[in-house]
Amino acid sequence: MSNKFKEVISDFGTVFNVISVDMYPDDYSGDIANDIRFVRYSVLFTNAEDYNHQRDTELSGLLIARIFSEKGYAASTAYDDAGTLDTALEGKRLPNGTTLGKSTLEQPIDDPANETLVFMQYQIPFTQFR
Amino acid sequence: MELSSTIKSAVNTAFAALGDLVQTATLTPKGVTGFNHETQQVISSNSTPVTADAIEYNRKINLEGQIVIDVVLKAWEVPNDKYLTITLGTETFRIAEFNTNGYSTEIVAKKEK
Repeated sequence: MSNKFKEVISDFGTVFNVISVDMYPDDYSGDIANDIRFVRYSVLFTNAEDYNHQRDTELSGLLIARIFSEKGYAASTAYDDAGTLDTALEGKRLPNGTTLGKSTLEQPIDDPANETLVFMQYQIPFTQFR
Repeated sequence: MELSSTIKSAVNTAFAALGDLVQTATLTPKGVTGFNHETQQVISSNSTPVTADAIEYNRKINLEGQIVIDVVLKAWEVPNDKYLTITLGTETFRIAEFNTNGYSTEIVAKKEK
């Protein structure tokens, strides 16, 4: 049986590889190409349920993306990046069948790891039927 | 003699005074330059390991059972970089902290026991 978690991650990967936003997984610790404009993301699998007498499964969760920008520049860069992400994701159905819902965006807050940056948290729910 | 040369010379003198307590350490740069989302793999560059004189001045086993070492090195032998591991003798530790003042570099490294 295929790995249901990797299928979802791979679905997001097909989008992240082509959009014009520097995306990195949350636990990435290598070089960052533009250190004042980048996004870290994680995928939270929140629920799984059986349907059709356990023949089908619905896996759902949240894609959480923290959009970083230089303090004072969130309005000019982070909202643009949020828009780019949203255009690529909201309401879309990805190659492995991951279907995305409606997104939300939180206000900029200081990055506790680097006080010269702020980040906004973009969240979008997803569902995959298997 | 300029102050920086004086300090550098003092560091060399300290290492020389410690004789066979000085070991050769090999540090492996992380060498990760990006991430391929489709394959979920990091994009790596070929990076050359760095060797430097090192003094392990503290070793403890913490409550999680990890071995934690504190090592000091000559700063000019260890260029500022993101390093993944430090090898002392036959033991390899993963680097958790890297602090330098330009003359001595202190590293905290860990491994599971």
